[in-house]
Amino acid sequence: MALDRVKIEKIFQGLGRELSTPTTLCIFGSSPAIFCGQPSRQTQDIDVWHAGSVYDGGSLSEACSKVGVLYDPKGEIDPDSVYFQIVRPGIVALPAKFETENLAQFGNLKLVMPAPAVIAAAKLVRANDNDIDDIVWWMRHRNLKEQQVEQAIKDFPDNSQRDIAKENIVFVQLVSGG
Amino acid sequence: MNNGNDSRTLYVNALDALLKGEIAKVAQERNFMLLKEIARLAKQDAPVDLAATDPSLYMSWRAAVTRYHLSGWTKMTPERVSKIMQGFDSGE
Repeated sequence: MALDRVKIEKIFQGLGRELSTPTTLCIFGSSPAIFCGQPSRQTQDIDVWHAGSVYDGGSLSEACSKVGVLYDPKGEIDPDSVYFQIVRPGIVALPAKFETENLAQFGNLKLVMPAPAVIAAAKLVRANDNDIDDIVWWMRHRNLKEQQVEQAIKDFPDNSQRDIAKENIVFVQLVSGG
Repeated sequence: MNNGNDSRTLYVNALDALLKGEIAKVAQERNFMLLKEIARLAKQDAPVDLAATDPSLYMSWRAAVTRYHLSGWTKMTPERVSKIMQGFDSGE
């Protein structure tokens, strides 16, 4: 399933219509870049950072069902489905507090994302080719500086993840102005 | 012995990666010689002569350079890659 800006915006518009209570979703991973105009990506999931979001689980689950997306599935899923993955600190460990940016408001849904430097820093931890594509896209489209990403890495709670991200800073340097 | 990085092989592999949009994959492999050649091919753009001799490649090459910039790789110039490689050599 390829997610593009039109598809992802339709999903959020639908959720905004269906949600009965004010809801804030902090999306991260690849979906913020797709929402901001990065070319479509073969992905099914929209990652939601639980700690940065404010939502009623029942209400969100119901709204997801109405707009045809899965809410935090744990079993096998159809390869064509789109789903929200609710992510809590674990293998992914974003800083306890980080700067966020407002992406959009759709009815009762407020959409936010971590600051681009935080997203880039998080992607440096895994740094597969899709992650590198995302890092490069954010660096260019938000004119990020290497120092901003380095600063974001410092706020990550896990020592080993900080070390890996620092080792991978070369992917940021490749497209930095320096 | 061909180490895979002689100039012709480098050119062919770099053009292939540029046309397929596999730059991030090359970066992940930390193949900086190949990245530098990709950056060179993107910077020089498709040679105009190709428009007459191989129009298909000319169009693909130009489209790949457009994607290169739209994807955010603009600042990855050959000079930038060289600077990073020098940094490794000097142990920075």
